[in-house]
Amino acid sequence: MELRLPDGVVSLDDLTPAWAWGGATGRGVRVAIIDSGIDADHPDLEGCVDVDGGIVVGLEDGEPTVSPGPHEDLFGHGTACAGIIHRLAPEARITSVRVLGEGLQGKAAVFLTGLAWAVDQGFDVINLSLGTTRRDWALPFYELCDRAYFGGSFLVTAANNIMRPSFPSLYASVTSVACNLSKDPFHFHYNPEPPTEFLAPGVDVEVSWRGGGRQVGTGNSYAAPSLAGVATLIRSKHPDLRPFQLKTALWATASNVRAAATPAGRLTGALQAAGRATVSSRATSALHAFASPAHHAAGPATPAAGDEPGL
Amino acid sequence: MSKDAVAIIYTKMLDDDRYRELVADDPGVLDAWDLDDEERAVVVEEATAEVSGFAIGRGPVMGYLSKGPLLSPGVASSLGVSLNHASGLPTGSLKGPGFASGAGCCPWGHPAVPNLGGSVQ
Repeated sequence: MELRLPDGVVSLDDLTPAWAWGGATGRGVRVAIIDSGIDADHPDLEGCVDVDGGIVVGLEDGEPTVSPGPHEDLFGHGTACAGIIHRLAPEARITSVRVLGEGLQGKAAVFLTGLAWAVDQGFDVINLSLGTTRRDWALPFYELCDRAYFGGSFLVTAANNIMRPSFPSLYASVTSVACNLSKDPFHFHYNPEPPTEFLAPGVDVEVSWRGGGRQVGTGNSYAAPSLAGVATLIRSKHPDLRPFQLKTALWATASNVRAAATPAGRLTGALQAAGRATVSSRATSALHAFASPAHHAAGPATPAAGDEPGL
Repeated sequence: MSKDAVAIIYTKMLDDDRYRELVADDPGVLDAWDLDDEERAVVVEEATAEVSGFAIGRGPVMGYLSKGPLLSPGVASSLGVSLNHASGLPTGSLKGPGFASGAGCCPWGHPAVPNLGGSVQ
């Protein structure tokens, strides 16, 4: 098989925002939102939802069931995620996979079944603003996320809001996101201390809500679709990128990485200067509790000097 | 009072994950509190959730607390402090009683603690 570099890329320095998503609209990209459903008639969504293509996952006699077809949002949370992605990538098609109920909670078996369906359908980007804290489900999710990774689906997951490990946000095969304090979705940050790898806007975000309205909300739930929207744009412009290449493009275009590259003028220099790409102390304070105890055990991320824009 | 009790229990769950696990494993520990059946159910649902969406203030307990009478100010403030701490957000990021900077002496008068951001429809 011929090995080809992504178009126009001969070095890391070519991974600029203009290269990554300049002119992209999300056209040709299929996004799945695993959540509480989507209010497809919401005016903010402008008909971007594939109403007939969605599914509802339920439980019958303890076994997950899949019911295809139109359905409503039982909470509003899925509509919020869809609205954030649609704002960024207006021509992407969005599909609802409903696994959460009226209390914004659900069963791990249902979640796993919904995610497996989306992976099997080959969605380009899958947004997961939810997770399970049950360790007995860790391995099934681990295997499924690896299957998505090797199959080419890009999984974006919210880190848990509260200091408890949650799955699948802890896995290398997904892209885990917590909040920064920016209002600009293109002002996202790379976190050099995983498992949470990126920070994106998630505080006081105006979001679409079920019933045609909007609310202001806070949480990693809203940071994940913000980054998923950027990933959708990149996927739209560069459909052949593998998930690790897409994640690399996100790293290279993160605000703090770009800032670290500026003194040398080259990303390759920034890569060699390990540790230069840090997050600001303010962003870090938000990150800490969002990450897992394992992350805490690793100590704080290094506060950066002079990386405050937008924070 | 029992609504305050729900808030106090939830605050304890936020502050100490072992207490949340205790409630999940043995809901009988709630017998020490004056809870009605609905309150007991939302607390247990919160403690035993397998999968949750990661929007702050949107779970079963916060949904319950957003209805009906106000919480006592001290209880609301303590809950606000714990939510801010548990979510790791800078002080003042979350709006409403208990969420503002100087949580112990925050402005009062909001209809409910979980009104983290009202509808802007």
